[in-house]
Amino acid sequence: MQAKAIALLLILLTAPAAAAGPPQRVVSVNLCTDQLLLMLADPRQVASVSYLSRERQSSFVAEQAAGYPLNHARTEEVIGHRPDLVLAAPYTNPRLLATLEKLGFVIEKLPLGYTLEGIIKDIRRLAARLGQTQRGEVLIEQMHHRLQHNDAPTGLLSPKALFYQPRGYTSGANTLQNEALRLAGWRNPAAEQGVEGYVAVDLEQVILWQPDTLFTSTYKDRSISLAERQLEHPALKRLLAGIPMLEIPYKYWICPGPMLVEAVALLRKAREERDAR
Amino acid sequence: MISAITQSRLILALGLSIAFTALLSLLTGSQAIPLLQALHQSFNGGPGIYGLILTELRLPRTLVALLAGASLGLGGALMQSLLRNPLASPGLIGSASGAALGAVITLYFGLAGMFTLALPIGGIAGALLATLTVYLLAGRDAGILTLILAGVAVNAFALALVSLLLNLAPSPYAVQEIALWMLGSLANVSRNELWILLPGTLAGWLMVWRQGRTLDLLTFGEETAASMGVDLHRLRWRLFLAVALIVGSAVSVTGAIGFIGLVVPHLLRPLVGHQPSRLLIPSAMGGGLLLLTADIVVRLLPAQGEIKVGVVTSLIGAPFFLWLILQRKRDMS
Repeated sequence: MQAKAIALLLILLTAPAAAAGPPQRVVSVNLCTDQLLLMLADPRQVASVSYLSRERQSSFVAEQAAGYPLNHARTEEVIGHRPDLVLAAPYTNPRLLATLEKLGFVIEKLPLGYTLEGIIKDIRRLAARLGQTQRGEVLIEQMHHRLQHNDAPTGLLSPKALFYQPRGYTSGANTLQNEALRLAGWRNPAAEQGVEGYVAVDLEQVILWQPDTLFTSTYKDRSISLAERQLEHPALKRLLAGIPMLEIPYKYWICPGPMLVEAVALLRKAREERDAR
Repeated sequence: MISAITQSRLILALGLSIAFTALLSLLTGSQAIPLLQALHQSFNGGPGIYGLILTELRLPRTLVALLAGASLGLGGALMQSLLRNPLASPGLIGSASGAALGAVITLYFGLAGMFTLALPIGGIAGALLATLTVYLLAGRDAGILTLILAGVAVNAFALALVSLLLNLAPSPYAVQEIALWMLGSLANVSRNELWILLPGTLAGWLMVWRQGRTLDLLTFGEETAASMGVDLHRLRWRLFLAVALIVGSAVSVTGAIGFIGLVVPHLLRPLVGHQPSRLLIPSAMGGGLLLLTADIVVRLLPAQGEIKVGVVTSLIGAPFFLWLILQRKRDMS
């Protein structure tokens, strides 16, 4: 009863703010929306970002995030910040969003694209929502510039690469990793063979795809587990003829955003080195 | 004399079955590969991908299944004979879960990263500790029920610790590996695992070499055996250590795979005339055969992600266990 009363009070307090102009108290509950928010918004517009935004391996804007209050995507925390806009991802806990909606908070669910076009759409959409259209266009322009700056050598005989993770997970079609590989001139046999999304594939399958190289990303410091041991399987070592797997920082391609071009740059460099061998 | 011939026939039959099943195992995988080409590539040491799948994936997996299964089968036969208790087996008296605990401690908290053999040593120490605990809890001449209850307690404690430690482990993947340690799996084992498995396994097998006769004497009762020159104290230690070596090594690589040590000696006992010395080798072979077969089944089942091999052995083993209990109940009444 008391909680309800407090909630009602909060609605009354926040409702007027939501009505006028660009949002001034934005709360983001997801790592991906955190990053786009911090890149696009005026610092005064940001009320809170998720705790993951400060993780140095996952977040491209970890340093920038240090100045803001953090949340763990819990209802009470979010309400406590009295947001006039809540940013969420398609896979954000639906219960949290339903509660917030019921209490009258405004929610923006970004689609989080997995292609270059998708990323640009996300940026434009959020920039418009924040009243920062100009910043959005600058970000997109910088992205295009970096991508054209080092042009990808492409062709049918492009070398094959897999994104390969502990427990044998790989990225097929409709993933940022696949898009980055494509933009860097690598073929992704998983996507070509109809694999979609981020899924575990069998080691025998990986060998039959005969990738020329494997890229991997760690989201925590390397630790010991059977999952991670799998990356050191002797069969993989022999398959790659001793060439080590290449580590791409996780923060470059875990979320859609301009940082994807950093992953593309590393992948292009790897491609050039491979061609030189 | 007649039963001796039966035993060599039994061993021959098991050997042939193992050879056939091993071949089948080399032919079974998620992907179909041309066998002749694979063999050609394997023997010429070339870089072919079919040879790679055969020699680096399927061959180590087959060998690990045979060795680990053999250790579990042999461990069951030894325990049942030593404790003269039909329900004694690595899974029930704590050896397997103790081994899993030891392996988890060494693997996830960095010891196994320092030297390779730390992992099996952890498993062996865990198995020995758990077995001794059960033995001391239940007492020397424990009845079936007491032994099983002590085993249940130690198993529950060890597995709870496994679960807790994996939750506390620094690796973000550790929690997802709880099922693997509790049910057992042979997915993605490589020749590295074979080298981890081998030393303890061979040492344990050597320790029980020619111990069959002594176990035969033990069937007359401990006092009679002692009067015939059996040093019971030494025998117990020797066999506890041997079982810890083989089960600890196996579990360090595969996780705790259930019921093989219980089921296999029971199935084979009537065929060898209830004589422990004749049971040991067939039990080892039968254990290898059962685990390898279960692992082939696992590879053939169409499932999202591979089913743990312990699921299959438990599906076979648990009903068998119930049947065993019913059988005993009938004998007693």
